[in-house]
Amino acid sequence: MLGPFFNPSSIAVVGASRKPGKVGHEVLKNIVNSGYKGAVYPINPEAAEILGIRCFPSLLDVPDSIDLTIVAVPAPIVLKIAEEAVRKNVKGLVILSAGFKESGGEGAKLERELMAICQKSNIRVLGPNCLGLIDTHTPFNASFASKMPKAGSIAFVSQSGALGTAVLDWAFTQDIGFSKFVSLGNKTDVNETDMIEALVEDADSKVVILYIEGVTDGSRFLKVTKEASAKKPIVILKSGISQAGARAASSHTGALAGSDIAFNVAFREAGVIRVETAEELFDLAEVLSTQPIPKEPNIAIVTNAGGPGILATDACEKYGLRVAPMSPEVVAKLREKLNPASGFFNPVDILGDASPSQYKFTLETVLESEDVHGVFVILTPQAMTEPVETAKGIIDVKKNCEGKPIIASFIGGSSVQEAVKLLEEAGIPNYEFPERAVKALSFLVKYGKRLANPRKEEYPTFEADEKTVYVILDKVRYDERVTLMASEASQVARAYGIPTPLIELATTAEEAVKAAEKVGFPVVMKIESPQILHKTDIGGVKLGIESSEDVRRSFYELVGRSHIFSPSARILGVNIQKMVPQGREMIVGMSRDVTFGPLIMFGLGGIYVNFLRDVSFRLAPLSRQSTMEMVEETKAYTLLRGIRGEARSDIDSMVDVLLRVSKLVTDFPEISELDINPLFVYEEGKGCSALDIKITIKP
Amino acid sequence: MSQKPSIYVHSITKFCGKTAICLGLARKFEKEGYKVGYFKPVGWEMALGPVGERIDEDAQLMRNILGLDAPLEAIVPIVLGSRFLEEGARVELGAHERRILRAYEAASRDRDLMVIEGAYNGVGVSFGVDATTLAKKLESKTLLVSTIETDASVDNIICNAKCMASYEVEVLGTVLNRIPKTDIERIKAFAAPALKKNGVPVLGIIPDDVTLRSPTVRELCEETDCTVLTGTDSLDNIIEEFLVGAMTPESALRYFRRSIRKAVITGGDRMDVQMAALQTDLSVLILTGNYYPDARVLARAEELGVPVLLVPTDTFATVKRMSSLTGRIRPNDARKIELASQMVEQYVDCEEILRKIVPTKI
Repeated sequence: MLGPFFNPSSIAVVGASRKPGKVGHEVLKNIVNSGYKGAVYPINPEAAEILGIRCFPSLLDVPDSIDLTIVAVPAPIVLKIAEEAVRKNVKGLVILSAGFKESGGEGAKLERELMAICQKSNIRVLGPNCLGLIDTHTPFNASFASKMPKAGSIAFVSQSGALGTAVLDWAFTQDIGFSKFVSLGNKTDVNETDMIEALVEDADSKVVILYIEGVTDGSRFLKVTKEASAKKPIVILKSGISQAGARAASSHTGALAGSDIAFNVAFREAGVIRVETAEELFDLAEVLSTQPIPKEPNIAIVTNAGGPGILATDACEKYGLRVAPMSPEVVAKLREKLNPASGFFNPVDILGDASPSQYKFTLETVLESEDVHGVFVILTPQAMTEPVETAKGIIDVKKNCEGKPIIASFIGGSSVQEAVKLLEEAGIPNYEFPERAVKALSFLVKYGKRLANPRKEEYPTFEADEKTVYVILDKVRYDERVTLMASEASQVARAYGIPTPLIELATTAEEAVKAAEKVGFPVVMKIESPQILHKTDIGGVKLGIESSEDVRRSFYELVGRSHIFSPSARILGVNIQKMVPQGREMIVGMSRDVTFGPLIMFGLGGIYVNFLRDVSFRLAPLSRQSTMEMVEETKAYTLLRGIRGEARSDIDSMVDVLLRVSKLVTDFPEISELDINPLFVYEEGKGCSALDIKITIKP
Repeated sequence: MSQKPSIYVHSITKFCGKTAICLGLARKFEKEGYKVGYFKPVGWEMALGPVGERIDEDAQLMRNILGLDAPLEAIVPIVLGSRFLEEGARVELGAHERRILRAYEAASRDRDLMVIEGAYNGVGVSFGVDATTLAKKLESKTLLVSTIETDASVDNIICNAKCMASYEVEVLGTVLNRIPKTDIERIKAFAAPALKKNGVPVLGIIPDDVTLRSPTVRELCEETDCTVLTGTDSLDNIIEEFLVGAMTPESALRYFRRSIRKAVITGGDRMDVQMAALQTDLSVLILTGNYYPDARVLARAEELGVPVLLVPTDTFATVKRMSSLTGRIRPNDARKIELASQMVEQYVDCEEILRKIVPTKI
């Protein structure tokens, strides 16, 4: 579907220029110099030829068909070009020009008009305001990056063009090879999801890495990426995690900075490997594109220096890799050829004077063991060390070890430079320091684990009274409100089988008595007033009311207190509900994320909730598996299972509540916020009860 | 000399919507075929005119809407300022009354019936031009208008009525205005019978309408020193609530979702808060500190039809200023005018009022 972008048989450059330094010149030059073998058509009404290639006044003057068109003219002219491209049946348009949505109101209007023109045909548009794209295999460089990167198997997609080209330049110093580089620009048509979808099918790319600041279509992203990540590793660096960063991102993209928690949850569900720094992005890319995925996390460390070996071991524990001791057979074999003073167990320390053949022998021996699933080789340059020969030996060993990754850390500067180059060229990633290497390896292991254990999700169905909810939400909208009254929220919850006491709103004392008699004593009475948020604080709640007389008296007491503390508050009445016994307090919440939809929160409730923050998040719709996972992630789960002789809580009914909440917010997209705090969870077999439910809807 | 039939609309509480009710009654009577006049014997200083003269804007509004020819001085002959005792110390006793009667003669000359708007509660009594005295002199029947804060308001109405009755002024009844919809049942059950029992039948219960009570963006602009950056077509948006945007971007969205028809006030540099606000139902975005916002916020606001205002003051001062504005009906606010008239027609027993003031109606 994105064929014309990656394998065009012809490329036109609109705005091609004879003047060096101008975008239209540099892009044309890049295409020509990259070794592109297809037809190139510079388009410029003022020139007859540029760089020795025949120039045409417009796209329509080109006699042959054109697959891909690069546009480098000022924004207002782009519209005319787009029209011509549509008429010419161009398949792909790459618009480098700035001055669209990123520049404000006028630009946004232009961008809308541009899309209106393009939507009339099947043309796909990359950008506008992007730096172009590079394909190292076709090959072609249709960007204004200064150099063509080395060919490799990493596909790199960047929302920031500037970061992209800087990285490409840096990549040279690291000997990193790319299959593709794409700058997304304003993402007016082609976005990150389209690229993931296309690149995962690209035979030249083994791993897809992305730098993004936001996701355009959350649900499509989830669906596509979930499938894609099972085929190839997808690594994403998303900026904007910190509050200040989120603000900065908002300014950069002009989009709303969505909740980072939602992104974390979404990425995890989609099987995306999320990294937090640009360094990790490329460390990972390297290891994922060159190394096989280990079956288990058992790593052998081979080193000629004790210190770095210990650092590596520490790092392995930190990142969840196992540095298991070598089996007696392996140790015996090693003893045959190595210095008796060597460390044999793991790390295997072959001492400072280790020769290339000793390195090679150790590696081969260790890799033969079934208990070893990957090797990390460390070398420090001592006087007698031969880094280059050692490297050659390692490269030889790699040729024969199927399915087991080898990574290296040749620590040093100029003395290891040539050796490192050899390793990189042979596809063995080298890291300057052990910790980075181990971190990269751990991501590889995690990815492998996920691939090996695909989870079968079960989405239970429930009977639910949707009609009642419709009617209630309709009334709320009719009253021009967005928050439901307690009595309404209770009805909505009950319609979906969420256990909660029925709440009746009483506007007079007599109504209150009738309501209390209906729901049954003892009752809880709470003032209903949209302006009073913290009812308990102002004495707006009364518990354990046992008689009708008490109800009557309490009614006036509550109204009176509310008037005193909030004279301007509108008092709609008093809520009457049956009092339920105290249970373990949990909290369930939902906030509709702008990108990914309903984000569900679960955790320990009670008065310390904001301080302890023992909560977990998932996106709805929830499966039974992800719900259990969510519950088990919290520390509160330990309490729920029963500690110190306490009985186990009714976790099943609690999970049921979560699933029903998930169904409710999925069925009714107009619910923008939902909070149950507290949810009382009782002993096993005794169920649970939602005590205070707040629901907000879209107007 | 016998006076034209008239209804004297007297208010018990402040901001009870008395002018809107006068407007509604006048319109209704016009519909019934009468030439309706309007008179406000004692006005209040609300604005200053071109030569520094005092202007009662409510009276001015009524004059414009009803299209009356009589000059404003004839319609509202006395306009009091806040220090009226001090100023009126040298006024001869009876002078105000004479002036009022003269003006009324002119105002009611070619009219079939008059809607007279009283001053607030007892204002004017120290010059002998309070509602009771004037209603008697002008041979009017009185309608008491009040909001209900607590049941004490009911007692106030009854007290006023008793006072007027003791001076032989006929009180037709009361109209309760701006009653929250949720209180109406309660009022009908408890307040109305108490009033009736004490000789004050309830002639109308008008529900609170947020449209009439709330300021529009246009009013906001007129009352404050602001620049409209975009959305000049949407200045009639109603503002029900003022929210301040000073929180983290994640909290912002949750917070803003809970209110509709709101104004969000935030610093011009808080693009994250601005974009969050624009994701929700928004009447206007007010940016403080004279800090010009990012072009993309304006683009988005334009797309959504949300006006964006720029003010020089800081957030706190801005909030204070804006929250103190209450909704008034402006002469060019056709929608509010229409709505006010409709509400009177719908919820007030205008036929009964007419019957009482024009007994010989055919």
